[in-house]
Amino acid sequence: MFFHIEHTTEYRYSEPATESFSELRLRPRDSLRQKVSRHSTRVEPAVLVESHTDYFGNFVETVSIPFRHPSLVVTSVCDVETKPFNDVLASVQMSVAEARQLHAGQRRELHDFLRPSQIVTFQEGVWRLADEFLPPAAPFSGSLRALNTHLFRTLRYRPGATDAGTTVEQFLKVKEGVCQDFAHLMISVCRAAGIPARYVSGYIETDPVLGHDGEPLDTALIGATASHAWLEIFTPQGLWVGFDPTNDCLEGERHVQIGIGRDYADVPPMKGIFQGSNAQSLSVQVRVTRNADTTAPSSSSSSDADADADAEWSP
Amino acid sequence: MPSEQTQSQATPVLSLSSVTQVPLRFGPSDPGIGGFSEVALAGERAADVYARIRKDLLSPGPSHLARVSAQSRRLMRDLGVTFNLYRDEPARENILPFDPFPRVLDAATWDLLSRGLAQRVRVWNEFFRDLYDTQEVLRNDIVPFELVYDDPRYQRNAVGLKVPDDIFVHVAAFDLARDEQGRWVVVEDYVGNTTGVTYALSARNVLSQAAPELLETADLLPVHTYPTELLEHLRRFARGTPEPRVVLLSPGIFNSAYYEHSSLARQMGVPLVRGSDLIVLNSRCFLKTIGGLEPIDVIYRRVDEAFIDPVSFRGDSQLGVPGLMTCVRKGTVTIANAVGTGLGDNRAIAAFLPRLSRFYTREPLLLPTIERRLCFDPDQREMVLGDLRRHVVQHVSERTTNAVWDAETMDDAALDALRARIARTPGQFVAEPRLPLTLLPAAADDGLAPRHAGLRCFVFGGKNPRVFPLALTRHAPEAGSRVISSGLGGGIKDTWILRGAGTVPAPESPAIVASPQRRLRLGSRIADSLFWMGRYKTRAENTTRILRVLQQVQLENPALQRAQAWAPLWEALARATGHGTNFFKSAPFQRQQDISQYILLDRKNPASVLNNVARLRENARVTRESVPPEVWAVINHLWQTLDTASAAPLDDTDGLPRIQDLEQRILDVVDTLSGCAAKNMLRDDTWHFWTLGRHVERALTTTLVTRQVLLKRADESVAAGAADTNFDALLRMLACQYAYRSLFQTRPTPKNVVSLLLQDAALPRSVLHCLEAIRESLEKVGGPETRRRDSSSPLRTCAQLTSEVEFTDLDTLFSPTGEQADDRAPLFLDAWLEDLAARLTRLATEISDHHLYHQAFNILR
Repeated sequence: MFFHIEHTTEYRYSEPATESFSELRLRPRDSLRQKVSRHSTRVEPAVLVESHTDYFGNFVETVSIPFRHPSLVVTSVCDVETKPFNDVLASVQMSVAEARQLHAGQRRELHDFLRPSQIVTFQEGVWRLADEFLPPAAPFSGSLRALNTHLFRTLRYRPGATDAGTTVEQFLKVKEGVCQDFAHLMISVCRAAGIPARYVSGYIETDPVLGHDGEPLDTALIGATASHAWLEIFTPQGLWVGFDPTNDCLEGERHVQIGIGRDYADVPPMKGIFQGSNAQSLSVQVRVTRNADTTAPSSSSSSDADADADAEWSP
Repeated sequence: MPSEQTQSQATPVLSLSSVTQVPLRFGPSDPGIGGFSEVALAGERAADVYARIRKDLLSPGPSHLARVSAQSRRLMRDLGVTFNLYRDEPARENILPFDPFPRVLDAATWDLLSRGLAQRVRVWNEFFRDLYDTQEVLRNDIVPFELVYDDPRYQRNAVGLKVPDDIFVHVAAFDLARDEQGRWVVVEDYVGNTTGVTYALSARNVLSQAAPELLETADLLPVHTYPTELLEHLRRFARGTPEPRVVLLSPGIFNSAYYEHSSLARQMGVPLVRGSDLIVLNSRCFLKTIGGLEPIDVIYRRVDEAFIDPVSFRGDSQLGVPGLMTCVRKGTVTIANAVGTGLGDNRAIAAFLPRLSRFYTREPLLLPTIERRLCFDPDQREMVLGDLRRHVVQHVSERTTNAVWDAETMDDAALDALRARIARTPGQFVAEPRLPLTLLPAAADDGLAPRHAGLRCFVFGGKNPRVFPLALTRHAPEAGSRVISSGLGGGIKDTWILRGAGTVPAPESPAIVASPQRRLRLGSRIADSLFWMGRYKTRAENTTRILRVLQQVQLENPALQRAQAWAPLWEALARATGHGTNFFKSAPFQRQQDISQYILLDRKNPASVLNNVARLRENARVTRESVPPEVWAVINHLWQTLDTASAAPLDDTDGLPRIQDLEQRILDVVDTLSGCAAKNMLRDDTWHFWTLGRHVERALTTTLVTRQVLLKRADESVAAGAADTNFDALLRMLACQYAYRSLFQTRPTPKNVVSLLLQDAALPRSVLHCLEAIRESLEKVGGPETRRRDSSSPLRTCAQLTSEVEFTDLDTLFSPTGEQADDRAPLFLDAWLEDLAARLTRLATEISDHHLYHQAFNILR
């Protein structure tokens, strides 16, 4: 599928900031299953944008604004093609213990994705889920799917219930949150069970609203946020497979990956610091439009979730 | 002279029959003290020197040693050699104890240590070079990868970064002790951030003043060139500039080693900066100075690397320089020590140095590390847990004193808790046998007595690391104690490294700094603080004076008790203190005392005199190097006056006398402060910013207060008598009554008052006078280039304002139609004053933007 994505982040300061510095992780990554044909980042006020690749291979841009500015607007525009992919899990016929055994040779490379991190912590609730769903003898693929579904069913998606700093422990307590929380929790459970898991930040194309004739009624709405987060599991074949517990599905063609990390703190779309102002308001607009290409039928969609500061896509 | 005999004569307290390699006991009277005598272990040459030291310190008479000790203490205090005690309240400065009996290291010993430590730095550097590149060391399982990856000091954002000449460790330090065989062992590696060198320098300085005769005949390697050699050393790692600029980055005054940072920066002749003093622009790092942005080439960081860039590092820290890592990535700035070296604090990794040495250089490690057990290894953990009492347990990388557990001193419950912690997170702990410190003589109440002591050595890293002939000896404060940390009350003594007869290579050609670093202009942060000191001082003064006059006129005119009559004056006070003009009308103040309490002493009122003085003092505190001590003392006194007064709220029982007394005392001390600053401050940039702040604030107050008193709404009938009293009060509020009377022999009229307060350059509180003072300081600060036509230049704004204030014809404002002047301030005048106030505020912002905050419109052109 071909997507055109426009992602606008706007910071408005209570009084003009005298200087600010930001780090952006907005460019979708290139991988076997997705290709970025075009990407541009526009910053207002206009300044030079520098870029580098971080430890996890993510594309990072940095923006330094050393003069008074009342607001900062970052617009990232890209065209991405995602490819369909086979369900590699179907062919994995082994237990969790066997699967764990198979990656023993890559323990060093996978270490970061097996250990707790700042947000992904191991505690009682996590261990309980790990014992229940991923005991050593359980079948690898089916158990992971069951865990994915279990989280979807027992936890409530509610924007605003949590924020970017919410840990797994807190999420388990309040039992409601956003996609980041779902992802973090499932990562914790997998890691606690010895299965390498990593955090994915990205976009998702939400379902189009359909008319009676089955044709989409709407084109994409500006103001919707379609930022999304999910996770990947390292399979015995040596592949990373995406799970989306917020939607009770596997990562598919309508998921677009931006970057990966141990947890959210490794790949926030934007983080920065400003001086000279006490407060800021943030608004985010993401529009994911499916483009007509030579083969695919045309359709477009987007979500219309509230434009709350930390709001994520809502299923 | 046989050495054995010398020793026994020289140090009876430490006397030995067999000289070496026997653990010492000091007899039944000192059952707790064990360890080797350093003096007994000394070689022949060192032993001779020890004997002479002993003679020189004791033979002139028993009181000589006490005299030298007392003199040393005084010197330490005068030099301000301070350290924060961990157990003490934060930021309290303590004078470090000093002991006059020096440690002596002979040339052979020094040669051994030098070679060993230089090798150690080479190995550490190779480790970092590899780790932050292809990680062969982990791939080959030389060091377990978990040790590295699980350590928060492993900097993932430094992997793949190139550093100049592949040097990561620019400055290193090592703590040494001697094991039971008398061999030197390294007990701590400091390859990320090192402290202690200025204490070593101070020790020599103090000893040479307190006991000059001791040093006269000693043939020692010189140490005083360390700061300049460090600067030269660091400058070598700058890229692409013949004139590299170096700064020392410190976390600020609350850091325990702030004394070291400030004194080292001063001795190196480089600016002492904090994160907010630097700014990143187009991947280049600049220091904000009042003259503009100075590009910086080398940052000697004395902060943890996680605090150098709040955006690039995980965590909530706001400290540091946002974007500094982009400069590191582009190679436009060198950080010393390189980002990532903090991992060297990990004692478990240090335990792998012998393997690392063989892996990288195929050489055995010359200086062993103390026998250290790593609790993450199950076998070693078992050994530790099985015999915990014999171990000192430490956190794997924390270097604070509360991350050390000496099992010998703990009760069973604490021991069990520690055991449980180790079992739960074994990777967090290492254990060592009790530190094998040696004993050195130290001055005690009755002559010399043995104290445990440790040694710290300092190394310049590089292709060929060089161990500088300077070492710090720390000693325990009490007999039997093994606590030598300065943070826990340990003291320091001088360390003598004897010049060897050819055994130590002659020191490199004396350090002559070919081109001393060009003096940079006053840092913007310091200037900003001085500017605000001026403003807060003036605000405190004005607020107090206005309140006092208000109270006085009300007392003097009991007939005019109608609140309305005083409304303009209260509104003036409200304006001057940043409140809405109706504040005192609507505020729930019942009594005079409540208002005084609120205006003078209320901690919750941001504009109270107390809070202004608090901020004045806070600004003075962070710029103490730039404020004469006399001025600081007066500011401190002013704060004490208010702080003490605030302990007892102003209430009925005291009545007005106490309030008036307090007001008078505040004004007196403020006057003292003005005089003291005028007398003691250098007329350099610091003075000009202090002046700018005072005059900007004064001009603003004069304008606002004048406007408020003149402004009378037509619908408000004010008795003529009250109006007169108000003008009179206005003059008194601004301390201009005397001036008015000497110029005009009439009762105050609006026009006379306005022309005096605004346009009379001879009156120190007039707006014109203030503007002229501002202009003069701006010219001095800016130099000739500020005269250029520059629409954003505050000088230009100031000049425009000055001429406008000077040449505005008040007649046209008072009687725009040309008719007989109305006594009531017409709208024109009011609008003009309001505009003037707004433009003065803008001028203050322009001064800040131009000289202090460095808005890009200043720099890009």
